[in-house]
Amino acid sequence: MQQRIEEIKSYIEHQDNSLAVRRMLDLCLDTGEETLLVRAIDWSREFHAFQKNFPNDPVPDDFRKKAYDLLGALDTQNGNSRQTPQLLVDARKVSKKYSGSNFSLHPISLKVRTSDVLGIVGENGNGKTTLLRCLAGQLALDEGELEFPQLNNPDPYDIKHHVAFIPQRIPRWHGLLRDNLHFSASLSGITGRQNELMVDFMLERLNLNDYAHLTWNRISSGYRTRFEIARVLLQKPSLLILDEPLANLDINAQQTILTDLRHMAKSVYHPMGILLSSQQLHEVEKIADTVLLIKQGQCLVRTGKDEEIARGFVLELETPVSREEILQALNEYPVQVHFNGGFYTLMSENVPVEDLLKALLVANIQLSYFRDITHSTKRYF
Amino acid sequence: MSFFKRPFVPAFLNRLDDYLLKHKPEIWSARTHLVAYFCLAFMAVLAVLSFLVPDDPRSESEISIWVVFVSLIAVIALVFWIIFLLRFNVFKRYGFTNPLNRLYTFLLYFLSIGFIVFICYIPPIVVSFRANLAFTDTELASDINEMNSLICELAYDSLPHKWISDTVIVVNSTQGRYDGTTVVGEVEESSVPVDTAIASGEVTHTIPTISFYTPEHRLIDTAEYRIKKLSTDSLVALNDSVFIFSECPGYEFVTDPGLAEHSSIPLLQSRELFEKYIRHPQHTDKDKLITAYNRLKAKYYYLHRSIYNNYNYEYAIDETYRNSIQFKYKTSEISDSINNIYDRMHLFSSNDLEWQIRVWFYISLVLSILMFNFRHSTVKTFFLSLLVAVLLTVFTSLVLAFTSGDEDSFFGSYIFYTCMFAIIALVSMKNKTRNVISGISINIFSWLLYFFPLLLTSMYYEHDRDRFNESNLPYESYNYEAMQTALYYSEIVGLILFLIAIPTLFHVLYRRWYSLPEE
Repeated sequence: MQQRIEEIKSYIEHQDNSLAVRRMLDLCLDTGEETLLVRAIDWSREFHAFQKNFPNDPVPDDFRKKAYDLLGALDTQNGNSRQTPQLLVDARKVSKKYSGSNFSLHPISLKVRTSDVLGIVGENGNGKTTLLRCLAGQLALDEGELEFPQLNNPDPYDIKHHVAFIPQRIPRWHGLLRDNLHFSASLSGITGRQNELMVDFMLERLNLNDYAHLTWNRISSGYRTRFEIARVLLQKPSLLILDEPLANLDINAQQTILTDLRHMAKSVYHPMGILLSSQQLHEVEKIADTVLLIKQGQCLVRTGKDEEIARGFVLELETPVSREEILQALNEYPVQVHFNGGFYTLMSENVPVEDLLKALLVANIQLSYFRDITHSTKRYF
Repeated sequence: MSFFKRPFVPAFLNRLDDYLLKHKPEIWSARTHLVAYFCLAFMAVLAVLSFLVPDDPRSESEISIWVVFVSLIAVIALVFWIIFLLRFNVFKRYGFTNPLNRLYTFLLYFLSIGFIVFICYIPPIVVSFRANLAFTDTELASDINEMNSLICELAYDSLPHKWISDTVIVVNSTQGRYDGTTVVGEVEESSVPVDTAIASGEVTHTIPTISFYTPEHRLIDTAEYRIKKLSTDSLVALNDSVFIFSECPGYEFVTDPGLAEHSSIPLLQSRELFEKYIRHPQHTDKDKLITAYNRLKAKYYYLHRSIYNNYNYEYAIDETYRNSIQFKYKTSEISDSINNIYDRMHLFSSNDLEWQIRVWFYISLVLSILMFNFRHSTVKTFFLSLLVAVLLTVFTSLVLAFTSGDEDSFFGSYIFYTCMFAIIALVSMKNKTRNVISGISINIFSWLLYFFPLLLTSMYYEHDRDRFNESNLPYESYNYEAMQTALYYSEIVGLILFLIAIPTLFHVLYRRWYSLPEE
């Protein structure tokens, strides 16, 4: 608790107000205190209203004062402790073959626990969506087993209530967006005052309040994704599966959504497991505990703390110079240089990436972009 | 915020809507509260409009045009409601739900559709109400009697005073002929006891002179004799086989066939008019009679619009007394007016009311069941179920046509289909994947379950009637009332069975089937 309070204070001090508001809302929700949550929502509303009217002005002192008052109140709370991660889904050698198609998903095993974020990456048409739909109970498995240890002798309806799936093409919503959120909350048993509070919380948390009175046709595809996430989160699933959630989001929204998802997965109030597929390797790798690379229906690589340690070093860079100049700058090192038309990939068995970069800088090689992809699935593309 | 989203809805209903959204999502998503409000509001407007529309109860009712017009509005309302209904579905979102919620939602659909269908009944109800305000059955009967009496008195000289007689020979079969002395051929003489024949006939008047007995006498069989006996004004038995049926000339110039059933005053029959005004004529002041008749004529006379009026068509007047009376006293137009008034007054009485309720109930029920299916199955499965049902009906009809099948075969086929779809639906509980055939079976089983007791009862009574027909007992002696009662109870049992099956059987079947993974 204390650590999180200090973190928020730091954000406020450094004018990272948007981040401070989101963390404050999360913290107040985790305390389970309705009065604190209401204060946090009001404070968030004030901030968003101010930001909308005066986008370039620093926030007034009153805003900071209210934040500190709220943090002071939070300081007196004991705070709920984080629970031990529970196994949500245990998929053992699940495989799927479509009739009339050459594609098949080869046996894949994975486990997702509460607070876990598991990213699935891979090129188009390699089986990411098939795997996610199998795990969500939407597609029948040809072989393998799917177990949901948190559910006692579940029927398929229970499983689908337990697992929420957000497809890449989100089905159209009807009616007012706010009504949809209230409806989603109430069908999961969040009723009355709690329903209003949670919808208000979710609208503030995802900064959607200005759009809640609109209809589906009047919001952009990025906001549609965010509203869909808000709707699904209000249904309080144990396991959230998202297929390409970043596809319609701008770069800032991608970062925000991914970090929000990570924080929501690790929430004390309602911890859950998250599985998501994406083409945005680096963004996913930043927040995922485990990343699976799927190629031609097979799990090629699995990153994460329990998985295999990467062999060799790989550097990805972009430069206007030729391959010969790069090789000349690195002539002391045993390096392989590949060019895919946009990026150079430098691979070495024993030379660390830092050393390769130093050598390039010493040789005055102009670098417009570089990234260490030693531990990234990008190296397998 | 939601208080402002429906400007035509009162604040309390917006509050209720908001409450239901946040507390009872299944009730909220059915939108019955809004359907009820808008339907009641529309019904009120429609009722006022129907009251204000100039409408003479004596004229031929144009209510069918109104009903068609309002039905179109009801269809639009239904479509509009369905669009809103399909927006939110707790079941398809895998929300918290319990078996009784399935029953509540079905009842809400029924209620919503019932409200919408009931809109079509408003114009006829108002028309009937207006007619009942303007006239009463007793008033109509009294006026009819008065008009017929007045005509009998006014047109005494023009009316026939003799009864028409018909002498018949009753035989068991009419294949033979009478040659003047005996009945020959295949004819067997019947023996109808004279006392019985006279005692059971309504003999009130006999023609004093019966002096003919010729070969032209008609031969009638015992069945025709019995029917004739029921309607004759007089019956004289000459012996065991020869009878004289006599009919009083018609003096009922203004009449209404249905009024006798509802009026507390009986309508005077020709026989009674004969006794009162023809046999014993009263000498009253003619001017007074004319004035009295003109008063009643003014009350009921209405120039009915007819296609013939546009062409200045005039009825061909022949020389019969009825036509001349009709022409002179406008009895045909007056009768038409009274018939129209009567029809309007009794749009919703006794048997008619039962049928009106049945029409409302079955339209609402069938649409509710379809809506219930649609809300619990996929779009593809729902429409395939409709297709299968249509194809199955066509197939059954063809098979029955080619095999000369009777009602028995028809009922048997549908009992078989019900059992077949029930078995497939139940077996689907063991399925690992969601397949279309199981979905179609569950849907069709739910459509047939309500009718299942009705099919069984119909089939039983079909057999029963066949046995009865083989026994050669008189047609009237069959207990049709018991059959009607049994069919009526079958409808009730079917409804109860279906309502019980919703939370117990269909909830389980749809829950499992819909949430199974796809192939």
